[in-house]
Amino acid sequence: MTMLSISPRRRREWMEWLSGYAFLAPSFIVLAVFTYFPVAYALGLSFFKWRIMSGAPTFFGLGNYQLLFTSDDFWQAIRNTVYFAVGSIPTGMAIALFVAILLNRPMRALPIYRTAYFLPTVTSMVAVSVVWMWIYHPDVGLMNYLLEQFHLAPIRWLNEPRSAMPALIILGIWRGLGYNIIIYLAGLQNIPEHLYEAAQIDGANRWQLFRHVTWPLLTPTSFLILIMAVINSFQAFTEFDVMTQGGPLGSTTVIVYYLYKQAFQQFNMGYGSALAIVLFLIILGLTLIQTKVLGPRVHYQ
Amino acid sequence: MKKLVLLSLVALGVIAMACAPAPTPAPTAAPPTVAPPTVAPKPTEAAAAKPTEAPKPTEVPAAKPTTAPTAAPTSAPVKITFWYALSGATGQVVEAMVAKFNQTHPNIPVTVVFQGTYADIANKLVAAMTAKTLPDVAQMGGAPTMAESGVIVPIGDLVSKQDLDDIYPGFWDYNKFGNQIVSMPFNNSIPIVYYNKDLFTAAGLDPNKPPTTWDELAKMAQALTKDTNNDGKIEQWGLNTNTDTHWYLTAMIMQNGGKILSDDGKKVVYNSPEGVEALQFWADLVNKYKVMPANQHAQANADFVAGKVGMIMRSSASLASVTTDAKFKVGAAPLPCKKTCSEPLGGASFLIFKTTPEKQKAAWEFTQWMTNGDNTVDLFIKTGYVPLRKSVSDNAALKDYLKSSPNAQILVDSLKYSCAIPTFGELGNSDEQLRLAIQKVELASASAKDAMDAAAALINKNMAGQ
Amino acid sequence: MLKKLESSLIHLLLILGAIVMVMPFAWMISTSLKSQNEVFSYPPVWIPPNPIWENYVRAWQAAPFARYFVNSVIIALAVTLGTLITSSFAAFAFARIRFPGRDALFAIYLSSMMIPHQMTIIPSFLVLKDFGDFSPALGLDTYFALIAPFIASAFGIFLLRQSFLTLPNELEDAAILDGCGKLGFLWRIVIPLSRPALATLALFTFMANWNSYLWPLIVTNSNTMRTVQIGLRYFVGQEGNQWGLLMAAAVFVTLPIVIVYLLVQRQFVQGIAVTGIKQ
Repeated sequence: MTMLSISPRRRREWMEWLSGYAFLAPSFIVLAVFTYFPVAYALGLSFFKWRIMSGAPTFFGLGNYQLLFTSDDFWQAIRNTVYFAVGSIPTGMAIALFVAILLNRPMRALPIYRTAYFLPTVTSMVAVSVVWMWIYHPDVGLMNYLLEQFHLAPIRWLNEPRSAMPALIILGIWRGLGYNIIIYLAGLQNIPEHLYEAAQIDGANRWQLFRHVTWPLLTPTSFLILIMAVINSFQAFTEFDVMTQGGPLGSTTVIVYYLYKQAFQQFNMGYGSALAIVLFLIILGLTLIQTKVLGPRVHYQ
Repeated sequence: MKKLVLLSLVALGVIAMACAPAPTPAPTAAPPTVAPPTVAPKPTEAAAAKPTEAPKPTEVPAAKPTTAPTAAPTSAPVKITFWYALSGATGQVVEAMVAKFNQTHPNIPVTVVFQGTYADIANKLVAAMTAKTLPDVAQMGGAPTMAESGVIVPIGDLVSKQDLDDIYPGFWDYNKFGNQIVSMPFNNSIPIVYYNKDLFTAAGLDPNKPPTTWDELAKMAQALTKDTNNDGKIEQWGLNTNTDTHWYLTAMIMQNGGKILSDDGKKVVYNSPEGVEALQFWADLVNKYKVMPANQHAQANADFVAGKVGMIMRSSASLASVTTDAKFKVGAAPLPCKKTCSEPLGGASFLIFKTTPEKQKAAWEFTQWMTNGDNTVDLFIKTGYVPLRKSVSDNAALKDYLKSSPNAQILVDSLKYSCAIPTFGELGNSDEQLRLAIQKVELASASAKDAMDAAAALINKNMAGQ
Repeated sequence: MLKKLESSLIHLLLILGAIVMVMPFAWMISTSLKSQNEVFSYPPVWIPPNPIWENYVRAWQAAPFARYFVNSVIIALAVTLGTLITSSFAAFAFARIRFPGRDALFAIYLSSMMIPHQMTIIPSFLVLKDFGDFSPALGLDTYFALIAPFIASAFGIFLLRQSFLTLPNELEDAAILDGCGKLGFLWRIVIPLSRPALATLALFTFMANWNSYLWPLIVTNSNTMRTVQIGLRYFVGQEGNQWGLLMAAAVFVTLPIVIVYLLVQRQFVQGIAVTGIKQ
């Protein structure tokens, strides 16, 4: 009796909803088991005090969070992370876009260039660290050699608190460029050629082409890159572990490095979990803000 | 409404944790009656086999003499797993040793698993603790920190008087937590000075006379610090140290008569006048004598083998690799002394985990074998990890090696100064605070006294709170 | 004339940039042929005078690399394929299907990228141990343990969703008129038109998985299950690295990714615009 009283339209709507959930099911199951469960685990653990080497966990309520918010090291880590994000994201995106556009035109050496710009992302971190340690070497490094050529004072890059983070920002941009270039290239591929042709017929010059055709149609890609860049830069870790170990004087201790030290060197799992949850909430907050503010500005069609 | 959300989040989290296998460590009582039906006698052993042994008492019997070549007969093979975290040449030595053990001890087949670096194996052990998939024996750095975890069998319960006497006391101290011996020394090293003999000669110094006191260190370093191309900047430095700066500072504090830990083990006391003096000397090397570049330790190793640094403080374990990496003649010397000489130990140890009495016994036998005289000499020859035992002075292979390598002789001679601070809960944190204090004085952002006071205050606060 | 000048300028910029990009990779290759005492000198030596090709042979023999390669390839391919499939489905749902809670669910999916992966390792390890108690083929030290946690990727879903959203709505209308169901629309129209995004996702997934080290180390103990990144660790030591061998191993471990990249970047043909619609 109920089936007859549902209009075909309602039924189609339900079928659509069902298909939506069905299409999500496989990925959701995997994420639930291997990501959401760990998040819940970390959340639960954050209310306990647990130094693994010393025995069983003891309940601690909000104690870890209290310790966290009153810790100078934590706030320094936040400041360092924001500094890193602000320093590397806009510049990195701009350079990636610029290079991607240059690499999107027919050129004989195109595959070579594309591969060259991609190599930093696949080069072994050991090699990256050795070469960049040399580049940044205060006495015999390439950077200071160049500065000298331009009659500028040498900088003690990784060895001094003021210059260490800028040095790592440059390294971070260098390493992430390849990824962003590829994503931008993929986005550029989606822009139909005939739109360029039509605009050119209308007499648009190159800057106008970029501003009225390329950039608007790249906004979905830029949006993706920006969101991912925020998520990734707030979780940056490897360069900080390998190049400076969070120093000098804690100037390059970013949040995940601080977390790593607490959870995996001091084995303070409870405190580390609280840090992870706080970081999670920060990134979530930033992402929601970006979506609300910038989301409407993205042109999909 | 908000309270409800908060409560349900907490509930969710607690449920999630409850659903995961309880992360409590293994029960503190050793497994009482794990009978060996799991180790049924194999058919091939049946002929000469005795009846399956009754469950052993939980006390493992006293250790056998370390030079016993074959194990006492047991009736069935006891399989054990061994995790280690050494690579390169050292890793190869370990694997070869285990292979030899397996050949000579068919009743204790050992499955050996490489587990990356010290950081990696620590991660792995933590995961294994939570999931209860621990191995039987493992080699790791910072082993005594696991003393209170409840999952290990303290070596102090197993070791014989003979071993206690034969192995230098410093090595036992290094493996203590509080007053209990927790782990078995295996690959240990001392901090030494590597120096570039060619640069010494070029600076007019005798390449066979490295510095023996703090004053000599500063003076010789000054002779070695040069502006090689007359551009107003120093390209060649007299002195530098590897990144584990806390180790060398600790040595200096002790050489100056200072202590790290108070006698009751309840607080750190390196901000004593002796400790502050040591840090001040370090600061002077950078800012007054100007022989060491400020906070340039990450590049120190590369700089030294590239011929840009006259002397470097680094682990003796790197002797083999520094010698092959350098294009010049490498000299080795113990750290220069002040009021006394002091060589605090570094390195890693073996831990035995609580499993079944049979496996623990087998693990102990394995451990003893791996640390016996022949093997400790073999490790020393192929790496730079120092020999553990006094009794190896008669070892033929060692004697030959010492004849051929004067640097190795120097290492062995320095062992009489070896010492260690027993591990305490905040040791890792404390080392880090010392490194921070060093950074502060090198970058001239704090005085030696303030830096030391800050470090000690932080650690003592943590120690009081535990 | 101006065009030529501009073209040369562009080439100059690109070349300078490319040199900076390539330097560490070049150092990797050059060091793989050096003997231990040639590795550190200032300035670095880019072309070793006596290349030691044996480094490659010795590096290969130092660890069970043949088996490690087989494992890495199987796992990376499986994860890539799985991710492409699950992500296409999910991205399609987010881009082209209407259902209640869609935006909230998308936010939840994105949030899965916001927890540092170091914190997910132990709980995931515990889960797999539980699976293993239930059935050994699903537990620790298995392909399942190495593949299963990674076959869903919020990044992949995000990437594909953005791409799917840019397809003209008219396409869908045409498909409905032709009697195509959702699945047909996805399979026959959306996917072929999204080749650059799919290729990008395939590349990144393959790379991330190929380079992953910590998870394989934690969940495996047997050499039959381990991967190439663990093999690399054999040359990284407390006392000092075996540079020539390490870099030689790094080179042959990196080679597959470069090959995958070259294959994938062929999907990026300049100016492709297959929309099939006449404006």
